[in-house]
Amino acid sequence: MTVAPSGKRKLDPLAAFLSYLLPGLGQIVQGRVGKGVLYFVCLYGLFFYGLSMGSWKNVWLGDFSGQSEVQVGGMKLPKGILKDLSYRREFAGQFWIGIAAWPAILQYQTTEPIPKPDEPGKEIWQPKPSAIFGTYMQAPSEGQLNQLQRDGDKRWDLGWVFTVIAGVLNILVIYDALAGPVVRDEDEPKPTGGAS
Amino acid sequence: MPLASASIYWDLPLLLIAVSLVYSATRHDRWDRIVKEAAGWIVRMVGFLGGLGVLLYVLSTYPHLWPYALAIGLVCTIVYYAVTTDAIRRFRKPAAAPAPAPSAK
Repeated sequence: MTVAPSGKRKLDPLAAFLSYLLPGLGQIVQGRVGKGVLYFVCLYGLFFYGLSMGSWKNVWLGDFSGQSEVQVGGMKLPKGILKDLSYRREFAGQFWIGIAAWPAILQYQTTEPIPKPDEPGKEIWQPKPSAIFGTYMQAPSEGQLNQLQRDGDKRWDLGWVFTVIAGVLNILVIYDALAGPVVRDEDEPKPTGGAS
Repeated sequence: MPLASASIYWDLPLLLIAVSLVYSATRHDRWDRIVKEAAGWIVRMVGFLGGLGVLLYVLSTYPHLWPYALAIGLVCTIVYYAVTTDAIRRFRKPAAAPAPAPSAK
């Protein structure tokens, strides 16, 4: 990471955006190839390992427009992304992994709303697979969710934790691409000087 | 439940290693510092989580031993912080008073 002569951090928004798209891509473009590869391997490894632990069905965002209202601080959330995220908070963390989570956004746009709790036939409702991604990262039916949690021991739950941690860690990676590491080499005490 | 059959525990090393490496790499650019800090985080997390696991195992197996477990846990915590911070050094050697400014003659 280049540092301006004044000592102020030189921000690199393009690298930050690239690191959002693919973890470590911004660092690779900046010439910090080793760190970029480390980020990519660790975060994609964590994300896809977690996804596989959840039978590839724990990264999704559903359309909860038909569900009961959600109030935050006495204010009713309007129908739309905020309300849907309040029902599926995990995706607020998973989103930050970048392109790897975009199929879930596409599925969110194209899949029909999840049935209301009192709607007849809710138990047998199945979302229609999309043309591009099929059922990958699509909101699962209630029956599927019940089956995954009943038959998959605790690994299904641990799996989504892995994917959320990978997404949240990528926020640190994006910051690293934007402004460099928290401790710069020139900030650290010299071995002979002793001054901190 | 025997530890070996609890499969979720075998997934945790991957999490520990990935989190430690990524976090440390966001703090430093030099590889020696990244590896050193990551190793420190792995040791701290394994120590903390492992210690809690052992404590909970002992408490669930021998419930009547909870006062001893609590005392051991407190002592271990105090020793850990005394060793890993400079608390002991500060206690033994109080900060020296600032030297008087040289008088202008």
